[in-house]
Amino acid sequence: MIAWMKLVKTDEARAGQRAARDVTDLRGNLLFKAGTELTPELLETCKQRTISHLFIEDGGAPSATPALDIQVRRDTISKEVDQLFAGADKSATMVALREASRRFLLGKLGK
Amino acid sequence: MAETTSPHQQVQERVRKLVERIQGLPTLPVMLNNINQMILNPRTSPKEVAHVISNDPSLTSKVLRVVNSSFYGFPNRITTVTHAIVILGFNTIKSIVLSSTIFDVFRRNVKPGDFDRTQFWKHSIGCGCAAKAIGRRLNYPMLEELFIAGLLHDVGKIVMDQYMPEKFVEVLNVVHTRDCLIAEAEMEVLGATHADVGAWLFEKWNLSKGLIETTRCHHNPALAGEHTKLAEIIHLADILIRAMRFGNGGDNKIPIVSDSAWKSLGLQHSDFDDLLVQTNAEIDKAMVFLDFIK
Repeated sequence: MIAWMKLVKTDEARAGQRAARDVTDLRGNLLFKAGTELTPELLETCKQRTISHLFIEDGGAPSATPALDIQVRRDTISKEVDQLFAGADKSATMVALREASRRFLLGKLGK
Repeated sequence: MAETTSPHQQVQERVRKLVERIQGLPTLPVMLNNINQMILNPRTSPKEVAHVISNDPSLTSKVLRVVNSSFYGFPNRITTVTHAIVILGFNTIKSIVLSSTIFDVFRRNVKPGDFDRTQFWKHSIGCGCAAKAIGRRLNYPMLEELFIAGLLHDVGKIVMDQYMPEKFVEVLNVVHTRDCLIAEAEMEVLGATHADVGAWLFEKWNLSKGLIETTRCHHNPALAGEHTKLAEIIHLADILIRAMRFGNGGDNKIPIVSDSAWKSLGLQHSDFDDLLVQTNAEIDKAMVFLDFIK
């Protein structure tokens, strides 16, 4: 049984770490099970399948609770959306799209 | 007396000078040329076209994978290309062959730090999916055409990356330094954009006028003449997929949607939420194309 897990960006996950949860693609197909040791090939597969984050086992005390990790992710996404749409405030259509984009991306994170 | 030239002619001239430097530009796969010719003949049978495709085992496998994927969602497995043609028709099969081969045409080993082709194709596939979602919302009759137009709208970037890499690195440096749209950086460095180069390539390949004009005008859809509606949809699809942060076409900015395109399409701001969800569902169905970019 694992003591802790943490959410990391797939880009930042390293070979040798272990998946803390089953990893599925966007269609729900199982790519590999919890406990699998990550390899460069598996990490590449995750990137190809557009899996942006992974739960990995974290043996020591967690630096942050999962709930806090999620909040950090929410703040990051919100900031990225604002950066993407910077300078587009004069268009009411772009403002509406920006807010729809924020709702969509935050909604995906919550799933 | 000096002759006056229109802005369009000036851009064409710059593109001509730009592409003159390109050595060994890919030709349209012979297979597609043959299929195009065969389809023009009303006496051509599905079996004859299937025979041409079946001469290429790799392509046959790709076509059957696409046909049997959730992209089309047929309840029963299709096991032969002839069967696929009978069900989907010549034009759809031609589109599948084009989309399946385009990834091979522009394949090459990419050094770290180069233009990220995986992200580029994800953006392109996503744009095709967004175009389909918009098309469904508008009851556009040819969703297949929308997917292909979205998939190919940015091909000019790959041409530049592959055939004028030093210049394209300069473009990417300008994008990075100024955090601007890639088309703005291209105009500054090259005097023409990926849209012009892509349209030029498709003219050379003798692809449809709609595809050529949509590629040329996806940043200015009002200039696409009789193909304006198609160009407007791709213009919006390009913006939607950027808003979803799916893939990356080489910059981290989002173009402002054209007011005239928005009005012409007749969509409402309240449609955005559903369009993003529907695009996401289309991407799930188009996973088979993501396999081709590996």
